[in-house]
Amino acid sequence: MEPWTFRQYVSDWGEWPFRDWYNEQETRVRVLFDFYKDLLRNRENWLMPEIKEFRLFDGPHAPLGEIRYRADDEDRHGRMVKRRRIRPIGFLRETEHDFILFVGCEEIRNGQYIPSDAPDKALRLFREFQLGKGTLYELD
Amino acid sequence: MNWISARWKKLRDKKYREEFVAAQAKRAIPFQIRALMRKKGISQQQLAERSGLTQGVISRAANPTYGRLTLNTILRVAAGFDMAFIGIFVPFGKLESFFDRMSEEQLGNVLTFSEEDAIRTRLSEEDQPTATDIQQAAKLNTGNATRMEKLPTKVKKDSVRPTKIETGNLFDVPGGAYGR
Repeated sequence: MEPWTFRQYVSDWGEWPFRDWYNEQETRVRVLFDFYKDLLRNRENWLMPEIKEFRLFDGPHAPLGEIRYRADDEDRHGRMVKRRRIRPIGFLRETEHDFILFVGCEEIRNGQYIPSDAPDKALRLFREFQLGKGTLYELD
Repeated sequence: MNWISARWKKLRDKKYREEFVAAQAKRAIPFQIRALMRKKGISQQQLAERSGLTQGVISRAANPTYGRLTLNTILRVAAGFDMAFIGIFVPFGKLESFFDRMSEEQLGNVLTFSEEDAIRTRLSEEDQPTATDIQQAAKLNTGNATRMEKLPTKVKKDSVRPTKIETGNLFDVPGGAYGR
């Protein structure tokens, strides 16, 4: 099976929303993103119902989807002190066998994100991309 | 070959390295338990019974976000699967190459002792290994059927001794490979 490619969208006015989000994150959040990226890269089917690490949005933010993982804050004994649900949002392009990342964010409870406009922003960038704007860069 | 990958550059940060090791230990093992259960067609309850653990412990062991698996539990699960577990210190290059090849299919592609034993027994009894045997032998050696560099060198008995011995032939050396 050919591995999936991860790309990020960069707007025509030089905005790197995903890279900027990634670089601002704590080390654990970044490492775990890299871990799940590696895991998903070699996964044949991202859309099987039992797969918990990715889901497609239904409703207003379709056809986008989000990678889902937890990067909880822990004490020195490894006990969770704060639950953190990390959600990089993008578009799964099966024809090109790639995943285009638009933004990264954190879900605080069902459907509420930090930053709060993250899914809307991802959708706006996706619409731009559909109009042929912006550039895609492969993720390291 | 690119010796300094993007990941290697990230690993130059000590904190990143520490979290990278933690991610492997805390997440990859539960993913492998899940992959093995799926591949072997074993439920959590069945694995619990074989491991001498409760279904709740297996559920946590297979949960990548649980993060507090003990070595004892891992060893009980290994016994339940009838597989070996290697927890050893390695250089970061090893871990990096593991991540580069990591997939659930590969994680679930581990033979139990009885599966391995059956292959070894058949190989030791057969004169000429079949293509399937060679693939299975590769699995025995590497845990990955795509790597073939450590294949057994077993050959058909008829072909061991050449009819005509040429000068410089291995078989012509007194006390050589077959101790003529």
